[in-house]
Amino acid sequence: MQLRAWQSWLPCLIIVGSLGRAAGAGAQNPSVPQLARPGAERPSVPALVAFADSFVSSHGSDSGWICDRFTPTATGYQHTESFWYGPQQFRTTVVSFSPGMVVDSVRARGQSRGLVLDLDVVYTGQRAVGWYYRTDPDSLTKVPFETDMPDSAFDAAAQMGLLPSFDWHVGMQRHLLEFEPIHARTSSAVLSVVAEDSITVPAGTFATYRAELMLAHTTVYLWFTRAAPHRPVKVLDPAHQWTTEMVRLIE
Amino acid sequence: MDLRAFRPWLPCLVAAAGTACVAPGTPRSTLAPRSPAAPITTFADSFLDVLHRPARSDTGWLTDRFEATANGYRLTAAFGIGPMVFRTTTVFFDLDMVVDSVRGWVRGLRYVEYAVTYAARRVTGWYQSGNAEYSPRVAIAGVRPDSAFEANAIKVLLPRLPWAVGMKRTLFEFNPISASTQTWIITVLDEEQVTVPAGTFEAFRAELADPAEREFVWYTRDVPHRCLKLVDVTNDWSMELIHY
Repeated sequence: MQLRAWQSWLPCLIIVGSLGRAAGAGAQNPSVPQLARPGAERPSVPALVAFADSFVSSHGSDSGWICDRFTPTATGYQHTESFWYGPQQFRTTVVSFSPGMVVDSVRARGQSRGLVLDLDVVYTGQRAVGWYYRTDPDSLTKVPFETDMPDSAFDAAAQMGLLPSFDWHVGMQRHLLEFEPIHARTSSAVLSVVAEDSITVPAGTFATYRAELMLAHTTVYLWFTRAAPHRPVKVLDPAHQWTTEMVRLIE
Repeated sequence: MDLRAFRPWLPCLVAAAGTACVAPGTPRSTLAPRSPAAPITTFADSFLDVLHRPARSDTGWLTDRFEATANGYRLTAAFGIGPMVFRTTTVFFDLDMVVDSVRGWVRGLRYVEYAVTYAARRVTGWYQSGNAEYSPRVAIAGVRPDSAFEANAIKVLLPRLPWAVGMKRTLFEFNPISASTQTWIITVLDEEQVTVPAGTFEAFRAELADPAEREFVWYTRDVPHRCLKLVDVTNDWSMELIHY
């Protein structure tokens, strides 16, 4: 595994042990019927400033790191996320956005449980065209695909790039449709900003919004900075014993 | 497998006209307008199911019954194959063929029971999964994408497509239990004469595909289009009409 390529933008990286199961975070059901969808509002320009953050992440007894970098490009914006959970579980995903924060393309490289992860997809409206490598017992097969996603859905890999551009405030609720092009499957989730919290993570203490992301059978808890750009500070998935906390923030 | 038991409640026939699907090939999909004048015909069909395996094949049955009720329509699908799975699903539609609610259960190797109600795009309900001794009830609260339809309603929606060689549609199939939507692309490939246990029919042959799975279906050329045969290439499973 060539880690050197990532080291240039991972200036401060801390890997700590398992944070384990979080207490007091039981699943709840969405109760507010009013829904807004991504794309219904355009992101505010001040929110779209470049940032690069790194996180410590733990999943059960395993631990690793995640790095997010959001940068303007000649044609819009680019969000790069890398994570490392050991030599068989690592990935770098690059999502390109238009100036209006519509996903143009996604490229992912890495390994998942030792299997090759290699994906390219380009979006034109709702149409997704691309290819991925499927790992068979004794070979790798390049599989082209062409499919559609429902109206207002977005590539699931774009979630962490899109969330900072939302209009964060207590009471905000949005319906998210996250599309996985390889499986042509769209997952529904409801994001609700429920409170303001001051939380402390390895990177410091932050005034944050606490949000709940309600999936089919579980709820994931998110803390994003109250200050724009609203950037992730902590993510907690109690059902899967998965926790991510910011360890370094670079303006 | 004695299919005679199903015959008393298998009297008549299928449906017609347009549905809420999206045409691929254009950058942005558009929903076909709802067709309130579309004729809705009740039907009841039964099928022979075969799950092909290297060592042996398991045979089973599937019955679909679509009928009018006091406040809309009801589709009841019952399925059983070998000793493994028995499943019954009931979908309730309003008079405009919008899905109101779904109830279902699975028995055999799995124990599942669920009930969901739709209010526009919002879906609420519960499901239980486990075994006969322990199956905790879990709440369902999700949102269906605009253009998606309840997965269990596909047997009523497919006959309402404008079947013709070359027809291509994107279908968004919503599963409320997993709060996920599967994209399928259906393409009518050609016309064929097909023989199934129920007889010989002039049929359209269509491919129903997502990136991971591929099925072929045969529907009658005559309106109302009804399902004659299905071959699931990926899972080595097929079914053929035996009685209508």
